[in-house]
Amino acid sequence: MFLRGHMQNAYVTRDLDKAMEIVGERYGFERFDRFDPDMVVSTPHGDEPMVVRVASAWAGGLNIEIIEPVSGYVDHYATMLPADRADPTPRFHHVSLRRDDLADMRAEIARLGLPLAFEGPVAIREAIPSLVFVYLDARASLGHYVEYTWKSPEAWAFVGWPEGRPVW
Amino acid sequence: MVTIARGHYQNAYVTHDLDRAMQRAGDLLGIAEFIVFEPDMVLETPQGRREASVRAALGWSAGLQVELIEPVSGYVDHYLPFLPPDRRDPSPRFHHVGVRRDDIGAMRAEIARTGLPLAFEGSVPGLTFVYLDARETLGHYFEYVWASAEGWAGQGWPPDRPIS
Repeated sequence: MFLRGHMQNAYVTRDLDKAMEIVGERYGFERFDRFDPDMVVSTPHGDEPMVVRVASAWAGGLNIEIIEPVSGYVDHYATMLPADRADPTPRFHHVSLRRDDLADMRAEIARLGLPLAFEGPVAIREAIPSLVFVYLDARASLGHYVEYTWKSPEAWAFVGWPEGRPVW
Repeated sequence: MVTIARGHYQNAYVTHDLDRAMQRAGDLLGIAEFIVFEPDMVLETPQGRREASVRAALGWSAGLQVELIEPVSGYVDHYLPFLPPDRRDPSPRFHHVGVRRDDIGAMRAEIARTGLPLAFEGSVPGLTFVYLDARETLGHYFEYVWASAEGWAGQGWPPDRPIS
């Protein structure tokens, strides 16, 4: 795996509203894009429901994502949360890599041999442009997860990919 | 972060065992060769000057630089809480992000504006690094790095990698 296409550092939190407040105040985010996907994901144990609350924002060429696991198949998020349930501080969870060819992405993932955490969306309540995300468990080699994501051009625009930002 | 994450180029990790961490991360990330250095440093800290020794490795995986750090001795307290509890576990653990700056005066002014606590800072000819404690806001540290053009070239900055 190469980190070509690295575009995001992502965090988990126990309280998205407080995390946005903390990060927004300190680092000058005036607004986050908000999304509360209620979806079905594919896991090694079959299809599972998953509900999370998500905020994301761009800082230069880097996307910052903060995720609050809500219900369903969220153990892969929950394992990285602070032990103190009252602590809203974001904790690093994964890096995300952009891929523009879905078949190539799947072939690359197969070659890696990393355990699949989950992928999706198999189904999602909200109407969104076409996209695929695959979470791999890289904790043994990097200490965190790695997300591969393929998106249609409409979906990249939907997540606010900065105009002119090359893929490096 | 809209401002301060500008120039993000590095994700950095700590490990109990640099050699095994390089093996694991290098195999996964396609980093055939790391730049390994073992600095004995004198750091500026809020408590005054302190000596520190670490083993460190830098490698590029496409446009992202990965740094692995094994704390060895001295003022390494900021690294230790991120290490796995099991001392035999060499898996890297996320410690900080690094951002590039090319104007050291502007970098220092920007650091002052962040209001983040200083963890420590240090320099070698052609390179200055400043670690800020962002644990209460991001859960990890945040490093500003100024380097001369030769300093960036010396750590293998990819020629076609823009400064974001």
